[in-house]
Amino acid sequence: MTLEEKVFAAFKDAFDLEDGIDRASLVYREFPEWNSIGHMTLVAALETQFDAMLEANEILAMSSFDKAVEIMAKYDEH
Amino acid sequence: MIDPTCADLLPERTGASDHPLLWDDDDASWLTGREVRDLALAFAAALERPGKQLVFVLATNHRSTLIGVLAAAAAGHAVALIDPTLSGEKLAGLLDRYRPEIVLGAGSAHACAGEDWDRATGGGPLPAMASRRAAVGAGSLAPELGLLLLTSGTTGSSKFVRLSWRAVAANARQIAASLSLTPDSVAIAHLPFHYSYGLSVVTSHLAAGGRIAVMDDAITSPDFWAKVRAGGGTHFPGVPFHYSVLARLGFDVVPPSVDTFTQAGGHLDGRIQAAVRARADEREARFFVMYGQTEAAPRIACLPSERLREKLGSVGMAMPGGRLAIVDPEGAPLPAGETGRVVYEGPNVMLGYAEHRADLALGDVTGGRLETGDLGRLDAEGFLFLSGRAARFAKIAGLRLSLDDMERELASLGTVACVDLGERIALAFEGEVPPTARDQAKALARACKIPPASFVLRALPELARKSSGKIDYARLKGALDV
Repeated sequence: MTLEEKVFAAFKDAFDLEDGIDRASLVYREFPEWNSIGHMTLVAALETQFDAMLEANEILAMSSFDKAVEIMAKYDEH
Repeated sequence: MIDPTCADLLPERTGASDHPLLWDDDDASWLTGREVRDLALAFAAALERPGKQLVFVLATNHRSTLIGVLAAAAAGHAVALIDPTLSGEKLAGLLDRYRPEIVLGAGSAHACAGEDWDRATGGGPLPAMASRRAAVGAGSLAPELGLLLLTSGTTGSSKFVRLSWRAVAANARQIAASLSLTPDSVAIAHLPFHYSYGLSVVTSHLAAGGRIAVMDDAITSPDFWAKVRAGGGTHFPGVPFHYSVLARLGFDVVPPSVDTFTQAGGHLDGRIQAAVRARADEREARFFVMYGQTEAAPRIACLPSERLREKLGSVGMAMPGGRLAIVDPEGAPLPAGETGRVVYEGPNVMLGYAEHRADLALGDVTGGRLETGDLGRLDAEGFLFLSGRAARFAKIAGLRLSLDDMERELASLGTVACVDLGERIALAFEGEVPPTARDQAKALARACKIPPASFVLRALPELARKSSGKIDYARLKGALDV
């Protein structure tokens, strides 16, 4: 899987998404399920997907799908 | 007659003070106590009517919400605080059922769009307003009625808790005393205004003459802690979800100005409590675990910070001027150490419930006595230890969710029973899980603002029932084997 696919897999898990969803619509506090509770669900899904432990500043900076891809790049070993 | 104390919510010494009182993250400047009072009393004059009226406040986390509430109280009206993110359909249902004469808040123009309403835009610290052009003869309000809060705001319940302003103000003073709040205390008012805990954070700081920094932002946002710093916040209130986030982020994100942490809104895991205690000790901050219900305006008990280690697992002692008792199912008092039903008596207990406009004419039906629906025991010193719920509510991330409401929402799927699993809810079906159940559960989770994974769908050959034919939830939970 590419980095972007791995990140999307975690989003799918966290928010129960369809494959065809517009990824640009995945924005914190704009996408309906992505509230503060959903945010922590997403962080847990990303940590499971990447077998990683995110830093506080990374958790707080993760405000969109693109931002998540950017942050997770450093944890992507393949 | 306009009441300059805003029904005792704004004490004279707070309202006459030139010290900063109210800030929000939209404007980021302070209004003094005197400015808040002047704004509230001027707005009260615009709200004044010949009789007592019902004011719906679509309560965004903005300082105009507090000005609106104070103004309505000063004008002698009753206020219902409504979640501003409620769906248009649910809000229309409440408007139809309770027939408010006035609606305040940014959403009022949209919610009251017809020709029956006059609309005025708000601005700065004043809320937008819609008011009915002609009296609808909706029915009179009890003189003592002050505040209405939904029993379970997020499941779209239409049942209100009826509170007097006297009870709200009494509880504000009880909380201020329990937490030793001072004029130097600065509330980080990030919890929703329409949520009883969030409102009590605001009212208790008004009572203490402290400050209130209103924030329309979430603890998981990149700017949250910078805003806390900008507002000089000293008191961080949180439900269990917020403390599990803090435990995950680490307390280094919390600015040094924060010297008081409070927790309410459900049971916080003992390990997280101990961890918060340790981090609070390191920064010489206080940490209070509290217990309450909207029906008690809302605070019932508070565990003093210095007793937390010794009384770990307790939710504390009764509010000053209140009394806790444990009774058996027949109402007979039980001795210390025995588990039974938790009953609270105090000046902050509700008048009763309301399900229709006509109920708003009712007076006090509780006599200051609240059967909480919780089970627990008191130790010899009067510290309360909760052990479970007799009532049909689940708590997810501090949101109080009515399981009976959820069953009604899902009724089109056939027989379904909602069972609290602690941070998750089982949807138990008789026979098999209907094909559309997953989608409906997802839609309900979205409406309740909880993660879709909160619902666990299960099928059982049959759902356990009592001889009356009603679902036996205790046996059903056992059968789910979770």
